Order: sequence, then structure tokens, then C-alpha cells
Amino acid sequence: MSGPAFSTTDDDELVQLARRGELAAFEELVGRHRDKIYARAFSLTRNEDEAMDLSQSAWVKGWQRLQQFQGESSFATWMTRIVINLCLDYLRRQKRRRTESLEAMAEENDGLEPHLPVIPVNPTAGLERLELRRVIDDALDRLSVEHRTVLVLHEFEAMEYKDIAKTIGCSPGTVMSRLFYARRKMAALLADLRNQP
Amino acid sequence: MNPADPLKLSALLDGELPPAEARDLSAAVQRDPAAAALLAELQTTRQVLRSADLPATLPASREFYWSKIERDIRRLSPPTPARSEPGLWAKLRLLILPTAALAALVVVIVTGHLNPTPAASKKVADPDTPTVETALASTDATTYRDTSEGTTLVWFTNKKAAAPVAGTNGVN
Repeated sequence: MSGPAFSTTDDDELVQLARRGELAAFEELVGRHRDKIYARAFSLTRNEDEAMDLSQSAWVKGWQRLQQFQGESSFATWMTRIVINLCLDYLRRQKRRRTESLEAMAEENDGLEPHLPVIPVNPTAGLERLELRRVIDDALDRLSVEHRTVLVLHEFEAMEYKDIAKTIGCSPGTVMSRLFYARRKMAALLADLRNQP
Repeated sequence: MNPADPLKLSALLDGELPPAEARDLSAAVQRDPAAAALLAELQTTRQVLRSADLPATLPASREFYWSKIERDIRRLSPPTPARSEPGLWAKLRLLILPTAALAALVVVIVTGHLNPTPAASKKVADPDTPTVETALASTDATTYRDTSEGTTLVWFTNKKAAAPVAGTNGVN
């Protein structure tokens, strides 16, 4: 690994060095941000192996596209966008492989009626941190890819509707609708999972 | 609220509605306990999720993770350095060099026409006629060549002494 040589060098400078072909500088960037990039891939794919492969591919793509990085966002944010796009491409390919019946289940409302009973209290109140994480992980696993994607992009990446729409290739209205149903489904799942051992 | 309004509660929560529409919907929510409860549920879910984005830990060592990336990168060529905009001097040089070359060519052609070399002017087409060639001025030499006699005489002028020195067959 790059060792302490770059430990005090900031990301911008490392990017400049990497642009000039300095692989050790890029290695330092990977070391700094690998967990975040992996975490984002995992939150979208919910699969450790795929998340690992996709996040590594994202780094390779990042290296290839370094000249395109304009510094308008942080390097970590720029890399996150790359891994998100790779994951969405992967999920689209997966979706194409699914049968039509499975695809039909992934409609906007995911079988939910807008007027389902409201969960009146926080279904995760009082849970320990690890337990809370387990419940949320399980709930995210059970969401459709479409609902999970909008939730991750909005809640974890703080993306606006128009940016989400552009990223996943739909209208902002569709994002609004998916986000509504995704939150409702998530609330119901959290309440159910809370009561499971 | 009309049937479409529940969908907009998420957008209200996220600040994605136009101001006027947000005001109207907020007012409607205050008058409607069911809508208020739904908005509260959406808000809770959003908070739970936002607080739960704990960083996942890579299930592999840093070295193992990097090794595949490095291998793939080394299979590729290094990133192409960005093409920098040529500086002012580089731009001027691009303009000056061809212009200078063209000017030099014009000078050579014009001086060639205006000052034909004495050798060229004294050259006679008949090979049997003796020729007198004045070489370049800098050498101060004059050549007499008679091919019928097989003779070549070269005079070197000593400018200081102003006295010619003769030689034969190009020697001296």
C-alpha cells in the first residue's frame, strides 16, 4: 500500500498526482474512501460479493475518468456517483433477466394502497444500535429494487428529485410517487420486523 | 385533500413542492388529522433511515481489495494527461515559423532573379567554347575552363596584395 507517504496529502492533491499517472496516490484515495464506496454499492445491491466487484470496478472506472473530474463536488461524492451508476446498470441487467411476472411486482406502488393504516409510533423506538441496524437491513432487503433505489439516493445521498430522476431515467413525478410508497412500505416492514426475533 | 394529495406529502416533507402548493398542502394537513398522521409516519421513516446509514465495513483487507483494482488498472494505459491550452509564445511560434520560412523563400527567389551569379550569366551552351567562371564572391576565385584543350585554370585573388595567383586543374 501507499504507506505514510501520502497520509498528510489532501484529496485534491492526490487527484492531481493520480492524473499524472501516480498510482500510489490513487491507491491512497482508494484506501481513504473504499468503505463509503463499498457501502453505497451494498446498500443498492444488498449482496456482498456484487458490492465488492462493483465497487472495485468503480475505482477502475474512476482512474480511467480522472481527467473528467472537475472538482465541482468532492472526490468522494464523484466516486459515489460512479458506483451508483454502475450499480444501477447492474440492477437493470438483473431486472431484464427476471420473468415478466416478477417484473410486474415492481410497479410503483408495490401492491400498497395509499391509505394503508398509518404506523402511529416510531417502530424502531428503543432499539439498540445494532438491533436497529439489523431491522433496517432486513427491511431494505425486502423492498423492491425500485423503492430501495430511491430511498438510498434520497435519504443516504441527499439527492434532489430531479437528480434522482436523471440518474435512474424517470420523471420527477415518478420519483415522488416511488418515494412515497417506499417510505410507507418501509414503515410497515419496520413495524413487522421489530416484532420478529 | 383530493386523492392525489397523499403522494405529495413526501414531496412536502422533502421541500420539493413549489411554495404556493406547499402552503396549500400544509394548510390542508392541519385540517385533516389522517393526513397529519400520515405525514408524521413519513417523517419518522425518513429520520430512521437517515440515522441508519452507518458506514459498512469492507469484508476484505485493504491489500486484497486494492490488488484487484491495481491489476485492472495496470492492464489499462495510464490516464491520458489533459491537453493544456497552448501558451501565447506557443501560439506566436506557430504563426512566426511558417511566415519566416515563407519570407526566406521569397528572399531567395527575388535575390536569385535580381543578382544572377556571374557563372550563370557567362555560361555558354557550346561545350567546345572556353568558359570563364567567377565563383562566389567570398572565395575571390576565377576559373578558366577549355574542354577542347582539357585545361582548367583557377585564379585566386589576394585582395590585400591585389595580385592574382594562378593554378591549374583546380589545384590551389
